[in-house]
Amino acid sequence: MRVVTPKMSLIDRIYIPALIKGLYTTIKHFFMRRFTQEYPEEKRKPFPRYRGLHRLNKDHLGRVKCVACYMCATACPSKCIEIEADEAPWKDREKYPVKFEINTLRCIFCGMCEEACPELSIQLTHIYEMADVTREAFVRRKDDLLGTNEFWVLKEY
Amino acid sequence: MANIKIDGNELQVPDGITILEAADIAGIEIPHFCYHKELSIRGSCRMCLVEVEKTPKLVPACSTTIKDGMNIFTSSEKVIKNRKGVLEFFLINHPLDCPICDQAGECTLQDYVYKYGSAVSRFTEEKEHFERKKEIGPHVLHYSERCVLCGRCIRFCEEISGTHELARFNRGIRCEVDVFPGKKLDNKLSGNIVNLCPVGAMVSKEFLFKSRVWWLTHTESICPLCSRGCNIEIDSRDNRILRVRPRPNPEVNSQWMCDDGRFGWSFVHREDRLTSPLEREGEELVPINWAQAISLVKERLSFIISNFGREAVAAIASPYLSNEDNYLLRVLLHSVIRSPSMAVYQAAQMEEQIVFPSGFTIEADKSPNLVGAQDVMTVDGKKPISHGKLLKKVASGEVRALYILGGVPRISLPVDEREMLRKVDFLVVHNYAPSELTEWAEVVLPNLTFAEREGTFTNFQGRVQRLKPALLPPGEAKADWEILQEVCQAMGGEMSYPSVEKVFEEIAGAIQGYKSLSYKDLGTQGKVKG
Repeated sequence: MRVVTPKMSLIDRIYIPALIKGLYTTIKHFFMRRFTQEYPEEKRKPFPRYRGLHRLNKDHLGRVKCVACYMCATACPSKCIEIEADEAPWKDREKYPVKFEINTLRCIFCGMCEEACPELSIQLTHIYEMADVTREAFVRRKDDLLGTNEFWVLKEY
Repeated sequence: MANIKIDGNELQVPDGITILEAADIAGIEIPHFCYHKELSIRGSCRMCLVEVEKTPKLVPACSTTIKDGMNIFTSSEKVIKNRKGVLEFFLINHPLDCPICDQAGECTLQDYVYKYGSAVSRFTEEKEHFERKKEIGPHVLHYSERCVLCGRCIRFCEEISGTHELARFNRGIRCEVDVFPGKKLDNKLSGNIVNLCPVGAMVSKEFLFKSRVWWLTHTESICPLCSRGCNIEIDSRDNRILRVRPRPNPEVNSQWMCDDGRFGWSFVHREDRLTSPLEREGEELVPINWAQAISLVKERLSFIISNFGREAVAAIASPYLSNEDNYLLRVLLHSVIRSPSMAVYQAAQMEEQIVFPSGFTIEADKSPNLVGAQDVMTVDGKKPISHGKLLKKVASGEVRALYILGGVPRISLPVDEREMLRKVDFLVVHNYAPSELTEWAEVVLPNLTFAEREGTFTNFQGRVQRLKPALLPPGEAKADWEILQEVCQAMGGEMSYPSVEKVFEEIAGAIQGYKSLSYKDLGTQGKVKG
């Protein structure tokens, strides 16, 4: 294919006006709001509805609020929630999860689980620092998810 | 015949049927709770009320018989308003605990409220509470709060099982279904009440909280625990059976199955299931691979044939395995080795036959395929002998090598017969788990249970019914027909069956009575052999 190069005008060929135009943009940014953050030292504040790591809430007695209804696992489009239910050891409750695992590698953080939950048990927090070194660590177990809250407070988001 | 009109569709229906049945013929759904095809009509739920022209009030569709010239409206304004009202009443004291209710997903009340009900309730008072969970029997839990008092369970105990354990207690808002004081819902059909209940009031103790029903894989199969061959549906998830439910078949089991079959499948998930072929080394059985196992069987059988003659090799077919599996054993013995010593295992535990008032019967013979095993082992009109007779030949030293198909879920051989097995020079056993058959076996080949197997069973009526595999086989275990095919080929037989269907085609060609059958035509309900 033949490439047609547009003919450059005199101003284009002088080059200096384009240089000034570029420098103008650069200098303009000196006087604008800064976007760069000193990330590890300075944490980013997520938007209020940001969807980060999940947490499992507790009821007023400190027990897991989840009733193991599997609604989140049913709604989950990436099928990353695995629950095993059993009869609850408490008198006022009937069903509770003995196992509650979220594979955060598979999770797409869509928040459908949160929406499906009838008990407001699973919620997505603002935690976005989830890096780890083993695959197993990304499978968040029940106790990890119940502890997300403390973790959240600790990190002072 | 009567000419009627339902929702504007004119149709001819037989005399004497009810509006509900006529609507079923017309393909129109009329919601109902208390009506059940196999039970008497009670008309207590008021859910099926429909409008009939020239009738001042709505009439219950389940108990009103068809008259010639009737003009029925099943979705007129009046009917829809009634349904909405009835459902609102049902929900007044219903706990609405669908998220933790096992019935959710297959609950009629849930479906109807979605379809015909209202999303809001006008009831603001405290709901009536009952004792939440009651253990009314060994397999059934009762949640009174969820009950819609349709009475299906009570009628079932009166009409089908004839055991009269359940009744309504109290009146009005305190009315609930319960067992009579001191009684337990422990008849042999009690599991059916769980399926019968349109809501989650009766739930299975075994299945409680195991899984949500929409995740189950349904596989049509046949119950392997008696010769009636009830049609069942295996509900599994993650390669494990979670429950077994009956499948309607008017010729065999109507809509029911017994608790022995419903809860008797645990042997499928035995911890000690065999996963690879085993060879005897002294006292112990050590795992070997399939190629080694097949060549070992070939070597030993050929040795015995060349030293003691063909008649020294004998085989015992199993009434617990499918027709196809047993047929391949016949091929091995009759066509490849050419030995006439074939028997069918018959000591299958016999229990008393149980007949219920409805006609539902639990058969005495606990093997699912005795008729089929005898059919396929019949050569030139000569029926196979019983395994007892064959074992006598073993005792006399006439038989040196024995090929036994196992697969028996619970029984054992009597001690004297077990001792006879010790006298055999070479004993090959197909079994799914260690048993008294494998105690003396030289080679044990792992086979499958009914849940993993494909094939056909012939029940006591001669009805040939299909099993479909619900689970994947454990480890290296294989279907018996596949194993036997490999043994046949190793012994010099020239046959190859790529699928169960091909084996069945050959059975249809070779066995008396199976000639009119084809594997595909058996369908879900089976076919009676000729």
